[in-house]
Amino acid sequence: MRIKEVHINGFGKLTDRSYTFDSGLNLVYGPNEAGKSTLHQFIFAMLYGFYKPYMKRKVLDGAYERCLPWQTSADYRGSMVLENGDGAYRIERVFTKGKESVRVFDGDTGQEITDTFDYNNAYRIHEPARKLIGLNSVGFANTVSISQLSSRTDQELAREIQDNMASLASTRQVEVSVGKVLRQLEERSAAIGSSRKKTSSYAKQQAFLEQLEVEMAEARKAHQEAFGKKQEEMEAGQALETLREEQQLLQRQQGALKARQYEETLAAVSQLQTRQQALEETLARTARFAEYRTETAEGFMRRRMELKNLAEKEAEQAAGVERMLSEQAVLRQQLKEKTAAQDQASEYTLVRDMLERIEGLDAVAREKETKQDAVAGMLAETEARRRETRPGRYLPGVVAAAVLAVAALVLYLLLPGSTLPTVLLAAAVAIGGFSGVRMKQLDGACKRTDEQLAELEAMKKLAETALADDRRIIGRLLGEMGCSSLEGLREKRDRLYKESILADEYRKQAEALKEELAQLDVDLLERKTFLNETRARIRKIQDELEVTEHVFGVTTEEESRTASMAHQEHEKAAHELALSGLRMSELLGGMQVADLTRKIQAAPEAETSGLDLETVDRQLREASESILELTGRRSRLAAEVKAIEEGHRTAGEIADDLASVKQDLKRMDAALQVNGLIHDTIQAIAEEMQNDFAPVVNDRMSAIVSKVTGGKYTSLKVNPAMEVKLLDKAADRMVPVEALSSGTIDLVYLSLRMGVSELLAKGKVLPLILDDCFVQYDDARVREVLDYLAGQERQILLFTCHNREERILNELGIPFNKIRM
Amino acid sequence: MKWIHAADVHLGTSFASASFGREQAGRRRRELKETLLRLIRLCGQEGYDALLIAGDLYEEKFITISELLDVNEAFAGLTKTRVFIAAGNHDPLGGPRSPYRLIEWAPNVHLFGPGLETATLETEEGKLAVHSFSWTEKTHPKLDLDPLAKKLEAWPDEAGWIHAAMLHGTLGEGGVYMPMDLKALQALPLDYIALGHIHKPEAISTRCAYAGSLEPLDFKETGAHGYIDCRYEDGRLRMARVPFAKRRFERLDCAVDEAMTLEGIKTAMEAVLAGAVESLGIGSRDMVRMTFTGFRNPEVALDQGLLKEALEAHVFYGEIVDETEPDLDIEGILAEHGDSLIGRFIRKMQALDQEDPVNRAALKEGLQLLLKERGSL
Repeated sequence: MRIKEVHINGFGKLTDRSYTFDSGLNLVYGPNEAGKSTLHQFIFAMLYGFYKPYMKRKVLDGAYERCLPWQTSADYRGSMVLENGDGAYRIERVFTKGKESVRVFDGDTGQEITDTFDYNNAYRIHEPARKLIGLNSVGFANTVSISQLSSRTDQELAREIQDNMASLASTRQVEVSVGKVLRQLEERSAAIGSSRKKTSSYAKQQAFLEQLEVEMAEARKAHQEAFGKKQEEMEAGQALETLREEQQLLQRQQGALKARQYEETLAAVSQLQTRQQALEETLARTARFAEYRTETAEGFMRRRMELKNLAEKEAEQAAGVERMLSEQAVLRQQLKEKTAAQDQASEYTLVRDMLERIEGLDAVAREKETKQDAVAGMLAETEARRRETRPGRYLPGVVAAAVLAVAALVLYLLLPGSTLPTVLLAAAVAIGGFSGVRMKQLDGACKRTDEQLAELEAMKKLAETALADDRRIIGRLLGEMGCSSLEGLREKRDRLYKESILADEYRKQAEALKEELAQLDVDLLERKTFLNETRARIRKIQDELEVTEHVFGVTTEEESRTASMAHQEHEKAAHELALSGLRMSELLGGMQVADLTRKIQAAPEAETSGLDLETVDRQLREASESILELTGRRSRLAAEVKAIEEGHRTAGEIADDLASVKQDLKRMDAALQVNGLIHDTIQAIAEEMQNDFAPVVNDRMSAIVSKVTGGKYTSLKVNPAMEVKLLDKAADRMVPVEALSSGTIDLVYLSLRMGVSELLAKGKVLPLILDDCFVQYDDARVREVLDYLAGQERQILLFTCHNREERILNELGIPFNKIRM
Repeated sequence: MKWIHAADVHLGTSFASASFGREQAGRRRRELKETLLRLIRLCGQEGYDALLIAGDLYEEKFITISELLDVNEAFAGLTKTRVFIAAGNHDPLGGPRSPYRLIEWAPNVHLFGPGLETATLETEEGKLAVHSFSWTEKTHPKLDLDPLAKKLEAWPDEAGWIHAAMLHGTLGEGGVYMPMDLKALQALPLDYIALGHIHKPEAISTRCAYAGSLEPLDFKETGAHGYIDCRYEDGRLRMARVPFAKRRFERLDCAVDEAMTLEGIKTAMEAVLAGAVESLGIGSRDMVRMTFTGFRNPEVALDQGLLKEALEAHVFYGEIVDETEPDLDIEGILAEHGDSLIGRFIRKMQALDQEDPVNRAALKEGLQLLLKERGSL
């Protein structure tokens, strides 16, 4: 069979194109995107359409859409002329959905012969390819069309040859690679795995299942345990209930018993209160003497005693002083007397001196009187002469001198030992002298006589006056001396003289007295000081006693004793009151009396006969302990239940997981079973068919391989394990396909495909379509393949975008038909 | 006088037989309790006089003490509502380790004992006498109505008593789950019959109803679930089903044909869902199982992940069940491949017992594998 020509009305990017092919090698050349693949696709679609095989209803495959004409006006159809051994056929096909049609005409007569071809009932269309080519679309694609050869590795090519041969050998078809299917099934099963393969999902799920079953068993156990504990908790709760009732009864009994006790306490309290009241009264009564302690009382007594002693001492001391004062007075009197005697002695001197003075004065006066008599005689003489002159003008001076002299005398008398009288006397002399001289001088010369007279007169007068004064002075002085006459004074002097002889004795006595007095003064001072001290002490004690009196009203010893007793009474009462206070606290135990009363009133009713508080207390304590214990037990159990439940997933959860895992395992089991069944069935079929066809296939293929390899490998065998091996004649051993060189694999591959297609097409020689197969081959390899292909007796369509193939063909001198796209 | 009749809470249950995964199972388990606690709160908030729980409060095999303590605490929080509980087949009142007996129930909870007894409730609104008993085992013989009849007959002739029976079992003859003679039961002078055990809520008459499961447990329990609200006023009972469950389960079918692509299937599914939202009121909290049926293009794989995701854009949980068959012309293939590997495979597989799912699956999968591989040589 060969393709003579094609006409494309509209198909993909190609519109209204015709191509004519030679029966030998056709080189379809065009750059990328020129439409080579579209032409390839068109040839396929002309033969088989766009239908999915084996469908109950017509279903178009995806290529339909892809090959829609780009030019919308173009019809999605075309025609093709084939030449078979028995003549030419022209196929016309419309691709447009809903208008699909296939018509076949006799190439020579033009007669329509469509009806002579197979009709597909499902697709409602004729299928000329089946008869004309002898291959279905899959067979055609797997043998006639070869594309992207270069993208397959040697390994892949070898594997494909192997599959191809194996399928062919076993089933006389290349539609299905039995090995591939079986491998796929094995892979699928392997992906699931088995319990033997620990890392597989199956084994993992199984392990998980086991784990879950263990967990479930544990959870169930824990569940039971929790329920058991919960049951214990409930029982404890019931026991607790009973115990609480018992506790309540005991509490009532205790209350009643306690009330009785309270009553007793109350009685004791009230007795105590009465006593306390009495004590308080005592305290009030003796309150004044609360501080009248023993030492206070002793102090009082001591002071009283001391005061008494001091009073005596004071009296004694006072008497002493008094005595000394009397003594002093006596001594003073004596001293006065002695002193007076001394005075008389000095009066003697005075009197004596005065007497002398007065005697002097008297003598003077007497002289004066003599002189006066002389003057009186001169005067009487002179008077006779003076009967013509006058005497004495300077009499006043003489008078003054006399006065002075008198004064001097007086002073001398008054102040014995003073110089003043002398001075005065001198003055008087001076004044008198002067005055006399002057009178004489003045009255002398001219009035000498007169003057003399006068002078004498004056002298006489003066002398008279002076004499009178002297007599008066003498008189006064005598008077002063207590005498009326000089004689008296002399008597006095004599008497005084006798006395003055005793005065020394007296003076000595006075000295002694003075000393004695001085001593007495010292003693007296001392005594007085002592007395004062005593008195001060007395005052102090009196003050202290006054305080005692003021505070305690105690003034006497008797009173002090009474106060002491009162104090002791007070102390005793206070002590007893303190004790009774303690007793009261003890009795009340922190309660008030009102509390007691209230408690007695609030006491519960309960039968208490034969019970005592101690027993009831003990029972109550025991009950409380049991309650505490049970309560603790209950909470512990509750906590344990909680902990157990929280420590485990719930059985429900685990059951869900278990179900899920079991479901998974079941699904895997089913899948494994299904896979196994398919696998075993296909394997059995393959073995059965291999027995039928293997010899034929082996013979035929052996011939091809032998030819391609120039006799190096003489036979090809497919063994029951679906392995393809070649017999290396020289080495006499079976070689796996993979062991061949790349170039050899190419040739074996191509020749086998051609051989297979012939075998399947029942002897028909079909074209070979190579679509950009050698892109990645080097020149040498391309050369080898092209050389081999040129030797084939069949139509070859070689699609390429390279110049290389053309060049090599030219080099090799191989004729070809070049079609430029 | 008003009360709530609920039943079949199944606290703590495992969802081992449910189709949804463990994550959802865990969530649903929590939700069972949440909804019960919410119901108890409702009783308090709305001042119901009584809450009747007609059996299967919990799942004995899985319940934990702590869950029951939580529930009891919620009961204890009710000031007005009295709670009447009868045990059913999943929570029988058995021996001393029966979970019911391990809880010190709140004073306002009345747990019925194994023998028929009457618990009464007298309030300003009226006087309610609840007659019931608890199961003690996982099965129970037919209900003998005589003791109840006698009890009612002997009831003091005193006006104002409302009589309610609370029973856990099945209506009709036969079975081990306490069959009950509905006719005889209805003949008794009862004002209300609170039934439990059947998970589908159903009003049997104007005074008799199955409350159904409070929360539906799996895709078998479709539709709205909740409780029965009962109000007795002026000598008349009014009862109403109140949807209360957090979620509802729905099963939907989506027909597929060979012309559909995956996108087309998804669109079809969304249309089915939209219809269900319209007609059933399915909401974003619900759980939907979408079953795909019909023939599909063998090359179109039903991408369950994608479809589930698309479904869960609208509902809380989506489940995809693929019951489609690849659109293969087995007879046609057989005709073409009579003696080839494929033909022989089909014949060998068809010769096996087709009732066996493994054989059925092997034929389908093997054939698809062979056909798929066929194109790749």
